[in-house]
Amino acid sequence: MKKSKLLQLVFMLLAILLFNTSGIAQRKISGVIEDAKTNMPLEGATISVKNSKISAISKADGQFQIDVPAGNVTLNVSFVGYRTEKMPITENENIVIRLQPDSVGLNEVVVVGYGTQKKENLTGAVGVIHSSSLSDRPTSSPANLLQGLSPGLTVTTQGSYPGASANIKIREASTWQGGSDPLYVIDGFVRDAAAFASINPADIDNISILKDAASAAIYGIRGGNGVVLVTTKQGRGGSASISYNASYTLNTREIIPRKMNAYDNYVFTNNANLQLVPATDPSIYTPDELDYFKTHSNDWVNDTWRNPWNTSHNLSASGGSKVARYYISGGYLHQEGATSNSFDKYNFMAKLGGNITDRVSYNLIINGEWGNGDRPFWAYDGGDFNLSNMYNRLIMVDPGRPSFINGLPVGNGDNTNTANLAKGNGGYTRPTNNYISPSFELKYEIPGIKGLSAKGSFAYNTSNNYTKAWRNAPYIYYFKTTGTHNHIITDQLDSARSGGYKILDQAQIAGVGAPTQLNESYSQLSNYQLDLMLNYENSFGKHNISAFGGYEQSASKGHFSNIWDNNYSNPNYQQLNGGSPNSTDWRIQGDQYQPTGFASYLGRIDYNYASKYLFGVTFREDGSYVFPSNKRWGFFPSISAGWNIAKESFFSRYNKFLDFLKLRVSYGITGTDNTAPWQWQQTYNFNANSNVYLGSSLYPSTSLGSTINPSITWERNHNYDLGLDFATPNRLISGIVDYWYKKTTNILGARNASVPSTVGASLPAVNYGIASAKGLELSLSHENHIGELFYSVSANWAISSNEYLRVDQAASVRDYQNLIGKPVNGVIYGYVSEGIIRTQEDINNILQKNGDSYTIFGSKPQLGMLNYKDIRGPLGTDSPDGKIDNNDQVPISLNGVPRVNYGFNLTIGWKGINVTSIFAGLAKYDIMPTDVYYRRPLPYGNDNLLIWKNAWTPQTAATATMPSAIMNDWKSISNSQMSSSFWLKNGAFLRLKSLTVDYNIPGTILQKVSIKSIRVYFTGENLFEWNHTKDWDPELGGDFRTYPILKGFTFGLNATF
Amino acid sequence: MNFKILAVLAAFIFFTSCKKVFNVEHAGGKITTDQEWSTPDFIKGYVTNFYGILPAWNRDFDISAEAFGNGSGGATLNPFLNGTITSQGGYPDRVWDYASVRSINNFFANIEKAKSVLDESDYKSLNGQAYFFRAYLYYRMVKVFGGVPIITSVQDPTADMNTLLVKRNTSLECFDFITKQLDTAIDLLPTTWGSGDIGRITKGAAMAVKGEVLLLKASPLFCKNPNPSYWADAYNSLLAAKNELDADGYGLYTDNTMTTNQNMWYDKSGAAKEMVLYVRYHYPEKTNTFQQGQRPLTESSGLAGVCDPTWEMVKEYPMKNGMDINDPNSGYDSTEFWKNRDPRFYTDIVYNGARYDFADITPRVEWIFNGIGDIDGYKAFNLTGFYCRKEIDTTLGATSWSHQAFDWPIIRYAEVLLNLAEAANETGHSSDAKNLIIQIRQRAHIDEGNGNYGLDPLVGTDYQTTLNAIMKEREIEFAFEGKRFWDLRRRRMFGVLNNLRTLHAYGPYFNAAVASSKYSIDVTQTNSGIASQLSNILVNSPANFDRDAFLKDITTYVKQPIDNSASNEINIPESYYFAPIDPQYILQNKNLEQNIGWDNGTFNPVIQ
Repeated sequence: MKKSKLLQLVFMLLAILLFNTSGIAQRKISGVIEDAKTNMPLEGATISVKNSKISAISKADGQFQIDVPAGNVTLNVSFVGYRTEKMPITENENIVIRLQPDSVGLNEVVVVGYGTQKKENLTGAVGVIHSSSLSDRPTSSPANLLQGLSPGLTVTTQGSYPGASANIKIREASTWQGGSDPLYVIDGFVRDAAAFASINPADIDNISILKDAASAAIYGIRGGNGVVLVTTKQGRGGSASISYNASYTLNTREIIPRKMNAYDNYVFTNNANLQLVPATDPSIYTPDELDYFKTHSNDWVNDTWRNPWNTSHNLSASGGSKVARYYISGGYLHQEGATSNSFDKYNFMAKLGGNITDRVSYNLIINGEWGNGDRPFWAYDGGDFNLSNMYNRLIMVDPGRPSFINGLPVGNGDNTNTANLAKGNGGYTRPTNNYISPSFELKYEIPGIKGLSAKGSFAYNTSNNYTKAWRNAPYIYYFKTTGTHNHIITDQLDSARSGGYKILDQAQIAGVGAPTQLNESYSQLSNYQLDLMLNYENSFGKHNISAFGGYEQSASKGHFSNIWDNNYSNPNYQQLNGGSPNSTDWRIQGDQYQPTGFASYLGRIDYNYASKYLFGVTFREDGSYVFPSNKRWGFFPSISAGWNIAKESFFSRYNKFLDFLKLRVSYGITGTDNTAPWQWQQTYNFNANSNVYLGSSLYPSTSLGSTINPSITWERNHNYDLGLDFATPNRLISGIVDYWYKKTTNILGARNASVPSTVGASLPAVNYGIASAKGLELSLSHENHIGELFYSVSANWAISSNEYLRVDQAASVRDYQNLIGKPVNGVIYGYVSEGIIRTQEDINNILQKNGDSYTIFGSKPQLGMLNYKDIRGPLGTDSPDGKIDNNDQVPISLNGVPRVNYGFNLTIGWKGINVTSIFAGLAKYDIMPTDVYYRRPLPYGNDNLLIWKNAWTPQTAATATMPSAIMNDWKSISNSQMSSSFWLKNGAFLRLKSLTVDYNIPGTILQKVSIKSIRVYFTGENLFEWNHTKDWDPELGGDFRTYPILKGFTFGLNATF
Repeated sequence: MNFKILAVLAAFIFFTSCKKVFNVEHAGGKITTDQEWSTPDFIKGYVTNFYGILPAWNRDFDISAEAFGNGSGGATLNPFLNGTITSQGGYPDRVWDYASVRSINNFFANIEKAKSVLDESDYKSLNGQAYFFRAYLYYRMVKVFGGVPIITSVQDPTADMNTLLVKRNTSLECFDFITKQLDTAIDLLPTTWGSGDIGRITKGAAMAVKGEVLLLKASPLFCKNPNPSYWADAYNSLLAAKNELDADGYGLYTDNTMTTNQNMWYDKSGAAKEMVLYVRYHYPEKTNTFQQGQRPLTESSGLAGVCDPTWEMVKEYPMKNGMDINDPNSGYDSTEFWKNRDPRFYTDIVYNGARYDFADITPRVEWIFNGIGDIDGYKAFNLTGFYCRKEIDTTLGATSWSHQAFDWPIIRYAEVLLNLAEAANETGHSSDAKNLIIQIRQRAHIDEGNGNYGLDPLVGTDYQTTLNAIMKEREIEFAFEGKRFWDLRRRRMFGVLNNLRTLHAYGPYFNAAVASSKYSIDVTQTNSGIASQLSNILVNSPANFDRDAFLKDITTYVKQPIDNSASNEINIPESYYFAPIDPQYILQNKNLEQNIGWDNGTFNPVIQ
């Protein structure tokens, strides 16, 4: 590499010398074309001389040579996906031309289902995200990176840990069946969200978001929720290029709930308790105790928390010849979590492709991942790495309780010590998972017909998961208590305690009854996809046509087993055969996955006339194993058209204002088979364990399965999209507007609400429901160059809604429960709050208005309660009935899910320094906080948020902002803890999702050390959030105890050789 | 060349896999209709599944004033008691199980075609069990609702909706239906089963259920005006049941002593003869963890205070001499209320200072003292000052409590006797009734006294006194077994609960001054230090040490309402004698009438 570079340089210098001496009125210019952002050489860029027909193409290493006339000339350099550069040439020189990526490049090739299209010719609504928007941001999973980048793409993060993918939703669903997960297609292979989450972000070249039917209907069966198409990086051929990326990230908590300290907490609980019991009651904190707690307050999260950090390294190489282009990459991620947990992930990808003969080309991809986790054993962890339930337990602890005294875990008060378990003293869970996914593709250009080719591909994936979990019950210790009411825990062990001062941690025993347990589970899943395609692409004058047709088939199967053994005589020997031989101590479980099978015929025809009039037709005939053979096949067509108005001659006079204006319209049908298989076949269930013990064994039993629906078939999702794309010359302003409407018919669901209960049947799904959704999406961007300064601003905004049009309901459903016309998701039911009952006068007024027998959930109105609006009575009474009970609920918000998502990005670049920021937000969003944690402080001091300091007491009657702390379960009544408009919070927020500063070290310096480029960057992730909810992050819902989204600081380096 | 290879390959793959791709298997466990009804084991398994219809551990002690069960969260009266439940929920044991009805009807729709593959005896006993369970299921529904729609066919859910909008049958029609089903079952069922089938329904069990059904039909719940012929039916059928059970080897478990861990809850084989209708448990296959929260927290985990006996219940237990504590001759001393009580008191109730040994801590004293008793103490996790020890297996300690596995009785032989006593008293056989009560008292080791076992002299002659004695005996004998609420309801005796006004704790507080001065307890020690000194005195003092006086001296009892809220008054409305139908079913089917007293209902479940 070094040598060839040197030779080229010498050659160029020679060439320049030659030109100078030749005296001919022509000269050779040579140089390199690079990506301005990554400094990677660009192959295939067109270099042309202005006002002439001379042109050249850059080679694999970005080098070019061109003969130009003498004198001052200007070179035009254009390349798909980049802004065209104009470079005046004054002297003979070896020039470096750096192209800026163009976000709306019309010549850009966009990856669409089963192929590519020029952006100019697109008729569907496709969002494109380039790797440049994804790189530099630390994450183990690409889903987290998509937030704020595309309108109509709602991304909600589930926590900051590897493997925990963000939830992605493309537009709003017009069905209530199944999830809103889009379909993920990675390099043409249909995969799931987990596979997408585990892909190495450094390997991604671009992501296309297929939003409407014109683009997604080609995936018929599973295109109903939209499609995320991921294309990984390809080998470029030519001389080898090696690139290395490294980053280190440190995380901290972004939003910390404001809890009371021990002193405030006990003053608060005293104020509440004294409304119920005398001061002599042992639950009351006495002055000596309160005095002690002024200086002694604990926070179990702080006792165990360490700031998580992670580091990642990626090495990739690409290059090769015409016969074998290669891209190989390896990635390594190490993450240390907030408790004693860690995670390692290794990714590799090898791609080999090329032409075997002039007509035959091939592509081989092998993609794999290994992941190893290690976390403390936690009985309720639900398989999550960051132990959010453990975090939840740690954050709720009463601040008066210490976690450790002299290094010993404290047992007082709870029989268990979560902090001790968080430190890994109660065993471990060690999941390992890996997958390998090879695929092979062969393409043949058929002789005789120009543009006709055949392609066959086969992709296979197998994944294995093995988890070893060791649980042991550590000792916890009881300490003597002191203080008038024994509320203070001393540092003296309580040796007089019945049963001893140390006991086994009870939470570790619960449900097992044994102090040790080893649990091993194993699962194996595999699936394949076979594609056979015929492609045709040709132009006849101004008529351009491309088409393909083919067959696809896929299937999956899997296996799962689980085994455990209790009571290990030697707890250091943690292998299955070390456990108790007693059959009552071990158990084997297994499960057979439902295998699947699908087959499809599909095709597409795209036609355009001079890129002015565009037409597209797709179809897919899908067969699913879920349905009976006569209802198995579904036909999912789409049709779309586009009109590039700016190309019309009548528009030419406006071209100086608007050089691109395209109108798009599309309609199509997608389908969903989102229901259980076999609902068309009468079956009985075999229950190996009937739970009926007779004689001396559990008898096996059989039971009647569901009634059947012999004509069960596809849900049909009708999609309409109307779009407008526009841009001004030089992309000073460009934008996209889409209006879409979806209507899903044949929605599958059991008619449990309307079929009388006395039928007693377990009902099958029937194609009955209808729902619709609609939305508007806007994106607007502005970019400009001022000398060396480049900047761009882009914003996107989307609003959507959906509603039930037909749904199974009881024949005489009451009006307020009628779903028709209501949103399919996000309806929050609750009571209409009439505020805090502050004074006796308030009570008198309430009784006067509602009658003397008025009750609120069975209680007479009392001071400090919340009062609610009496709306109706039980069945048959539709007017106020003088009592508040569950008949008085109404939908208090229709926006329980965010209806608006938006984001904006700012980029400024100057001489190799780039600053990029991404803001993302959700709006038109209401949250009902979860009841036990926020609406209801508990008498034992756990969980109390600072906001409760201003609760109603007789002293604060006039100014209280919260109801009395005891008007709930504390006082054994139902009142304040009910879902009501009192608690409804605005969940809208705007988050500074990321801020990146990077610097490209100038190539002139690097060339001396044979390095093509070096970039260093700093990224701040989740730096700030503007919200209405101080104590928790609305992105995570309404529970302040949810494991937080972390703030991250990353330093990273990219180098290319 | 390449093209040909590709084409051949493509064609091959295409034609071999296109069809096969849909040949996927069921994920396991599915049986086709033909397989089901041609395989005797599957048919037997189908009937085995009906055993899930039997209720287990529906103890309902919180609505019968026996105990308080609110876990650690607080202490609130069950909304049933203060009259604040709604038609949408809160009524106990509200079974509306038409899924099981369908399942049984499906058995009858198919069993004839399976006759050829079954042994004659299997055919009979399978039918017998199916008839029994259809009867039992309807009995459970009619018990709470009164008349319900009787459905005996397998309805097609896609049929014309109007044919599915069934009406409720009258209570009388339902009772007749249930009785007929039981008569058929009684004819078909065996008197005993082989060892591999112990726990299946016997002829005697079906007869006992029939007696119970007819008792319910004749009871004041359904017949506000007594119907002598209904009572006669009940008496005759219960007498027949008793005779059949006697002949088949059933009887009272007689090794019941007052020593804990030596009663029928632990002696599984000995108690078998008393188990008429029951649900079998066995460790490790099927355990009952229902008492997790009934145990003191130090001998359990995670849950506590879910079955703490009320002071009202504690007072109900007679004395060892059989007399009521209110009887001036009973010898009851309210300052030592735990002394000389009915032996059943000691197997049911744990009071402050009682020995309560567990396998992992022996000797062990239960200190419920507020404060001293720590997490097991009154107002920590204990709500009433008492723990319930009935059905607790103390051979299991804090780490193995979940292994508990004794059988849960639905009908014990003792209940057949007391059912018969009640019917006898109603039909003029009061002296028979008295003899039946005495059988129970004898078994409980009540002092024989003058031969009356402490019963009021008028028992056996006076109708009302005899009835009171029967109800009292049921209350004590079946305490915490889920019978009391249903007895009060059957006799329309919610007034007994309403008269209690509210439920009380009898909280023990430590009298430190006396403990220090009289028993030299170092009261400056921590709570657990004090508790350990007290235990030492109780356990290690010589036999002649007056332990009762010691407990009395160091304890101050405070009687206080368990539920302190303004809504703590027991006030069960008249309409609560029958359960409301969940309004969601009425919204589906306008022909389903709601019971009177609920949501503008019009259906009257009362027979006369």
